[in-house]
Formats: sequence, structure tokens, C-alpha cells
Amino acid sequence: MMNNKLQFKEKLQSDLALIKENWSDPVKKKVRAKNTLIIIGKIFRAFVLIGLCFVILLPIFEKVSIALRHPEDITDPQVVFIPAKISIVNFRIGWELLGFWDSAAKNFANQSAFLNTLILSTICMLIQVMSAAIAGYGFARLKFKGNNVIFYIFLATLVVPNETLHVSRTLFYTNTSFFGIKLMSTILSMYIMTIFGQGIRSAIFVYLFRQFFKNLPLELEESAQVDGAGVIRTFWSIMLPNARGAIVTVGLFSFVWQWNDLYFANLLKYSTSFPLLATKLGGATERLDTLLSTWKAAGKEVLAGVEGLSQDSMFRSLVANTGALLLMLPLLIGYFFVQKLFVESIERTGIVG
Amino acid sequence: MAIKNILSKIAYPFVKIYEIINDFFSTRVKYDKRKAIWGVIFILPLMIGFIYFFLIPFCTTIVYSFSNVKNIGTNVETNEFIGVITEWVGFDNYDFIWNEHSTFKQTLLSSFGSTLLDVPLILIFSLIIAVVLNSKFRGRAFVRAVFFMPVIFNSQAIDQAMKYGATATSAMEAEGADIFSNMFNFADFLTEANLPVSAVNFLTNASSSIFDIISYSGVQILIFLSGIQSVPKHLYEAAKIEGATQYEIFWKITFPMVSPLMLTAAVYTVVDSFLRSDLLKTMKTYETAGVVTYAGGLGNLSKYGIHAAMSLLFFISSVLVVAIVVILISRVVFYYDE
Repeated sequence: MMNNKLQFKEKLQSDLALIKENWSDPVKKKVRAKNTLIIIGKIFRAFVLIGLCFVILLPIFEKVSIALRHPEDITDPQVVFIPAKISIVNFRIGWELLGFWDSAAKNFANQSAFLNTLILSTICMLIQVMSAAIAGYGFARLKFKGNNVIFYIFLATLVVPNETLHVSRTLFYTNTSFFGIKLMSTILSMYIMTIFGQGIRSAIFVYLFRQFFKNLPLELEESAQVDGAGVIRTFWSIMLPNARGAIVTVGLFSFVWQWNDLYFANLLKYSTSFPLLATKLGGATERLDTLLSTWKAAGKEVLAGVEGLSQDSMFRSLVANTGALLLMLPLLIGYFFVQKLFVESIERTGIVG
Repeated sequence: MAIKNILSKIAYPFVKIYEIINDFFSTRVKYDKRKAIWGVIFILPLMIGFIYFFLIPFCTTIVYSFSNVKNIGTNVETNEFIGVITEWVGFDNYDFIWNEHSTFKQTLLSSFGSTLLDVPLILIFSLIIAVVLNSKFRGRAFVRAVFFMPVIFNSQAIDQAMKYGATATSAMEAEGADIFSNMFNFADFLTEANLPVSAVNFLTNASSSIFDIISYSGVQILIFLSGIQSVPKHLYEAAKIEGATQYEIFWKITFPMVSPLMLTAAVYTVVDSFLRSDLLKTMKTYETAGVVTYAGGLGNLSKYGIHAAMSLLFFISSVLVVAIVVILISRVVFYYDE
């Protein structure tokens, strides 16, 4: 027993001496200082990242919280984030105003703005990827005289905002046709413009593909050529499969931008025959009155007890909020599934100036 | 026999054309030449689209900006197609915008200024975030996914809808949702620290628009991130062996290597920032047919012509900003020759 205690004391003393020695050792001091700095840096980084994530996620959270609120709650000062009375009334109104899904409509095009937007965005995404890849490959590898000049002129179109060409485009398209195809008020014109490289920010996508193909090793192409592959075969079965990163990035961006697009819908005026979510969102609050009165006539007591609310600006903004959320929601859900693919593809996009 | 003869004679030119085409695309033609021909074919759709959907409207915009534009379409009486009539008015449209329009000049100047302010903020922010997102830490996948989320809801349609939605949000804030910002007043803190008022204003503006900056810098973060990833790894290894700190590595390796991408990101930022300008709202009121009374000159001006003139001024100013930014940034750009 005694022996044990003595041993313990000795050990303690030797440990203390070791710690003291370590503490005053100049080399270890430096290492310690460096490690502390790294830890402080990590804590700082964590703070900044958590803060910024909070800033990004807060508006979405706010939108969801506002959308779930019962219209009775909007003037209740006690309700801040969590609604006292959770209801999906707003969603029902927003759903109806955006024309999300209406199985009663006879015409297929009028049935669902959601489906229309999905179809338009998907087809435009596929066309955009294909046409940008073809043009990008042409600019990057199939050199001819004036190739680069044409590319830079084409890239310069980015500096001209689409909005500035609105009037001349409208007048030009209404009075002429593109090889016999009338361009105004048909959904076909959006596809045509995308095929011919004038879709939503096509220049960026062409630029992306050009950079990507430029960075692929030349040997890849040469070996295909030696094996007897023609230009198209080289492009289709060698270069394109290797451009997965660029394809994913371009596809995602073109899908999202097409989904949210208003400019082309206003320019080509296809939204009357082919209703879309983004265009329907614009005038959603103006159609609120009509919707509520038709519901009342049909005997649906959705807003029982809160009559005359449709003129209330708070309620209108509530509806607008819910509409914006409904427009975003499919994208957010889709993003949740493809984000891993997308973030991985960034690693391989490899744009170099 | 005779029929066969005639048929072969008719078919002859087609066969010849086929042979010529076949020659072009077969191995008999040098591979480089074939590639050049295919290059033209690959780019042809783009060129057609460029001329038809861009160049013609762009040139007509220039013409329209100097004229009185009337869209007649088909003449109902004679059933004759007329289309658009332009009437040369010289600089009247520009004169109207510059001297008689109430807000155009101020809006143009303010969007000029806000763009020039946006560019450094967004560039610095996105570069820092790209560096941070590139480093390894726990939960990186989640943070990356969150940072590209603003790309989704950064859209005109939602902006428009949220104009109506703003009331609900501000009411919520009045109810106490902005409790976070009330706990710590940034502006007071900075004034206490004896900073000049202009600096305080700049910093508070920057911090309050942090959400805007984040949501507008998604693409730029992407550009920088892919740029950082294409930096040769051996440079970093050498620097680490020599004992360089993270700070030195950033300034001596990452920054110069990524600097060519600065140019791309800056041009994109300028263009994107101009697209958000209030000027477009002003221009939207002139998109429809109609006339505007004009005191000087011969009489009324069409709205189309004024829109075209505004477009041209808008375009010229955005080109100016791009030029300024390119000149400023190309001084720090470093090209690495392998």
C-alpha cells in the first residue's frame, strides 16, 4: 500500500517534469502555436460556414413557415416562426392559382402547368446539352480559319442583354417566319431557338463545353483517329462520354434557368396556349378574387370565418409567398436527388480561362 | 435497255455529287481538312441562329433607335403586307431620353455604380468561398449542396412574386423575427470603433446584402472551384515541403493560378448584375406600341424607337463597365505556361 503511493508520487513528479520540459521546448512551442492557429482557423471557418448556411436556408424556412400559416393567424403578433394553426389552405389556393394540376381541363396543354413546365424544361435541357456540346467541340477541336474569331463574336453576345432586343425581336418575329415556321405564340419557337444556339444563355454553355473539350488529352482523339474513327464517331463515342462533368453542369443549369424563365415566355408569348408555372405566378394575386368567388359559388368553404380576406394585402402576400414556394419546391426536391451528382461533376468540369 | 440508259443518265449527276461528298468525308482527303469541313458543319446551326435570332434584331435595334417606328403588319383594305415602317428622326429619341425622360439618367448612373460595387464584392466573396469549399472538413458535401441552392431560387419570376410577398416578410420581421440582428447592432459597433462614416456605410451595406451576394455568386463559386481543382497538385506539395503557411499558399499559388478565371467571372458578374438593373423596368414601359409627346423636333415619337435608343445606351454602358473591369483585372492576371 505504502509502496504503491510512493510509486504514484514519483510517477506524478516525473510526468510533471516532462510536461514542464515540453512546455519550454522552443521547437514544440512552435508546433503548439501552429496547431492552435489551425484550430482557431477551423473554428472560424465553421462559424462562417454555419452562418452563411443559416443565411441561405432562412428564407426557405421563412417561406415554408409563412405558407403553412392559417389565414386567421396572419395578424396574430404571437406567431413568429411556428404557426399556431397549421393549415394547407394556402397551398390549396396556390395550387389552384398556379394551375398545378387540373384534371378537369379538356385540352392536354391546359391540364397542368407543372407538367408543361417539366416537359419544356426537360426537352430544352436535352437540346441545350446536345447543341452546346456539338458547337463546343467544333470550336475546341475542329479548327478552321476564323474559328476563334467566330467563337469570340459569339461569346460577345453575352454582353448584350436579351431584354434590349425585345422590341426588334417582337416586330421581326411577328412579321416574318423562320423557314416557313411562324415563331410567335407557339412552344415550337423555344425549341427552335435552343437548337440554333440562342436559348437561355447558350453562349455560357458553349463556352463551358469548349473549355472542357480543350482540356481533354489530345492523345485520346489521335488514337481514335488512328483506329479509323471519323470525326462524328470520335465525337460521339470518345469525347462525349468523357464530358460527363460538363454535361451534368450544363444540364442542371439549363433546366433550372428554363424552369424559372420569364423573358422568352414574354417574348414568344407561348404561355397563353401552353401555361407555365413561372408565368402563372406573375399574375397569381390578381386572380385571387375570381378563384375565391368561384369556390364560394361551388359551395367550398375553404376560408370559413375569414370573409373579405382577399382584399387584405397581408393575405395577398401570403398567397404570393406560397406560390413562390410551389414554383421552387419541385426544383428543391429534384436538387436534393441530383446534388451529389452535381457537386461531383464540379470536380471534373475543369474550366480554365 | 433504253430505259436503263436514260435512268443511268439521269442518275449520273447525283452519283457524281455523291462521289464528291464521299471524297470529302473519306480517308482520301487529309484528316485535317476533313476536320475543318466538319468544324464548319458543327458550327453552322449556331451561325444560322446567331444571324437570324441575334444579328438581325441587333442591327434593326440600331436602326430603330434613330427612327420613328410603326408596326403596320397587313394593310386591311388592300390586303397587302407592309410590316414595319421606319421614319428617320436622327437623334430625337436620344434627345428625349437624355433631356426629357425623368428617371433614365439617374437609373443608368446608379446601375453603373452598383455594378462596379458588386463586382469586387462578389468576386472576393466567391473566391474565398471557393477556397473554403475546396478544403476538406466534415459535412463538406452538405455545405456545398447548400451553397449552390441560391442558383435555384435566384430568378426573375420569384423576385416578381416576392414583391407581393414582401409585406408578409416585413410584418414577420416587425413581429420579432429579426431578433438576431437586434441582439447585435453592427453599425453601432463600427461607429464605436471610430471608423469613418463612409466605411461604416459600406460595411453595413455589404453585410445587409449578404444574402443577395450569396445568391448572385453561385456561378462564380462554380467557376473558381473548378479553377482551383485544375491547379497542378505538385505545386501545393512543393509549397508544403518548403513549409509555406496556408496564407502564403493562397497568395503565391492559388490566387495567381486562378487569376485568369477572374476575368471570366468578372465579365459574368457584370452582365448578370446589369440584368438586375432597374433600367429594365423603365424600359419595360416602352415595349408596347404607342406614342410619346416630344417637345423638340417634329412631333410625337413612337415608344418602339425610344425603347431601341434606351437599349443601345444600356448596351453601351454595360460594354463600358465590362471594358473597365477587364482592363483593371488583366493587370493582376497571371498566365501559367506549362
